[in-house]
Amino acid sequence: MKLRTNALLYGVLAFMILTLAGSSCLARSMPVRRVPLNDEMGLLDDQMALEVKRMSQLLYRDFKSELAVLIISSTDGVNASDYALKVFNHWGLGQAGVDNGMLIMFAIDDRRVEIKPGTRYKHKFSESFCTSLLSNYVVPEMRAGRPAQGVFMATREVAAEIRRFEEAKGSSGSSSPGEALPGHSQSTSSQVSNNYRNSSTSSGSGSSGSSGSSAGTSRSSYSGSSGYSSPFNSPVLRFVLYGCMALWIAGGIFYYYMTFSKGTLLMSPWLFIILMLLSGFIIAFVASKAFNIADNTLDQVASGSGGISLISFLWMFSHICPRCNKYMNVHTRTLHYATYYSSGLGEKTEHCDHCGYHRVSTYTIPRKTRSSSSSSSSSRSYSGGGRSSGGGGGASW
Amino acid sequence: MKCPNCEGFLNDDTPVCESCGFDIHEFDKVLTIPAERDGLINDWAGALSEDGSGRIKERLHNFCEQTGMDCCLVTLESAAPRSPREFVFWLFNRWQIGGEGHLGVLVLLSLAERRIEVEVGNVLEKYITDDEAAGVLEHHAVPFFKKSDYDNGLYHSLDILARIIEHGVSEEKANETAN
Repeated sequence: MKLRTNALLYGVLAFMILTLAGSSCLARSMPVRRVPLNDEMGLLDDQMALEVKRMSQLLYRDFKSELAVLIISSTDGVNASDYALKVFNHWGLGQAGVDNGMLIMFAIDDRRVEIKPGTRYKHKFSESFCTSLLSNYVVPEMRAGRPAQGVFMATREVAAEIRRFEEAKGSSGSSSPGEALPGHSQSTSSQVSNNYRNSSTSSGSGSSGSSGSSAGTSRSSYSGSSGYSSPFNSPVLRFVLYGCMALWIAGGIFYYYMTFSKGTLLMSPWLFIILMLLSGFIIAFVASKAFNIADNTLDQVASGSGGISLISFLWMFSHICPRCNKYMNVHTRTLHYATYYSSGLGEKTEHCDHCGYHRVSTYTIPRKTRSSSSSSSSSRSYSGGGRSSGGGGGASW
Repeated sequence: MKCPNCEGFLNDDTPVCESCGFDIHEFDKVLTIPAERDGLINDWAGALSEDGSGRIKERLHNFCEQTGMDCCLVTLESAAPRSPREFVFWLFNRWQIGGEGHLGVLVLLSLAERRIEVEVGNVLEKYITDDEAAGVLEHHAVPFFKKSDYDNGLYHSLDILARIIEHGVSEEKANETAN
């Protein structure tokens, strides 16, 4: 019993740590979903804001594409690309299934601009395409100290590209995206950022991730090429990573198999918990750093398997014999069913075949209560139409 | 009370079954084994160890103190010439377990027939029915008896029976105070 409470304590503790660590990634709160334009800084004047909104609204009218522009001061240290992706998915831009959303995020104080296309546009808005688009139209305006103009240009160019893309698709006879239901859509891995730090005087030292070889030319000093390149792009590393994951999952399955079928614990439960959480950390880390590792599907798989293993582990936890630490049978059954007038009684039998540990405990099942919803529905059935009990009065004259 | 053979009805005053003709008085002639009742545990077969007997006695004593009911455990070598089912019925009525109101439980273990029987007073049937009692024995006694572990089997089954009745009594008290 003591071991079990201890291990449960470990588990809860580690879970809390994990939760805290997870929430710290989202330290910067999400901006309010304001489509087409969320100008947190008040950068654009009314005329310009109207123009930007109008371009997005026209796009929505014609193609049901959602183009959103977000202007914030800073991402507070979060990777701008990651942050933009989070905002995209948090807002759920575009129609579900069609994923025809588009997010342009400006982080003014960070001097970054990000374009996040939905899945529908990810081939069109490839990394190089976005880079050239931004460096041709947006970055010069930003550098020249006309951020509002830069926002306008970015919106105009992106809108024009979307329009071109949709028209080409429409002429080739593909189905209209407007039929799909609106909902949550996923942004893809294609991510493009541009760094428009005004660093021509310092020969590119300020621009993060710049190639640096052509720092002398005015263009490349702020084009910065890829703001974020994933280290997981190499196929060898990927293969190794997948292999590790497969090994890990197989090990977990083997552990459960040995526990449930053979009744032997390969390692003590708390050690297993720590290993599980460690692997969870690693998977979460990899998934957060490399969205494009498997086209944004791996994080769902990882979190799903993590959830399943957590649930099954919690279930397994009640099956460990406190005396000999092996698998034991736990059998629960109801002796008395609870009624509306009396509480019920159940029994829980723990029996270990290995050491003969046997413990029977009873638990009380709380009495049934009628839920408010059912009572309201029953009252509703009487409320339709007037009912008379046959009384009433008459008068004659 | 119920007839042990045909589940028919026996009157308390004339304990003769109307449907199958079972007569409880016949047993007095046939079964002469039982001595007088000796407390809560009558281990005539000597199946229990000292330790187990002590544990069971303590548990039954607690139960009797708490609920004011009666509970008795009997172990037998054999119930011959009648069946254990009939024997437990007869013993229950002969000893008047639980007094006039039949507020008691009698558990009988018969080693030769490999049977365990429980007889619940008919007033207590609102707390635990015959089927439930049989289920308790099936779950908690039989697995131990298969390994000849009579101490644990009897202890756990009596423990659960006692808990069920205690729960029912406390529920009833709670309902009374609520009303």
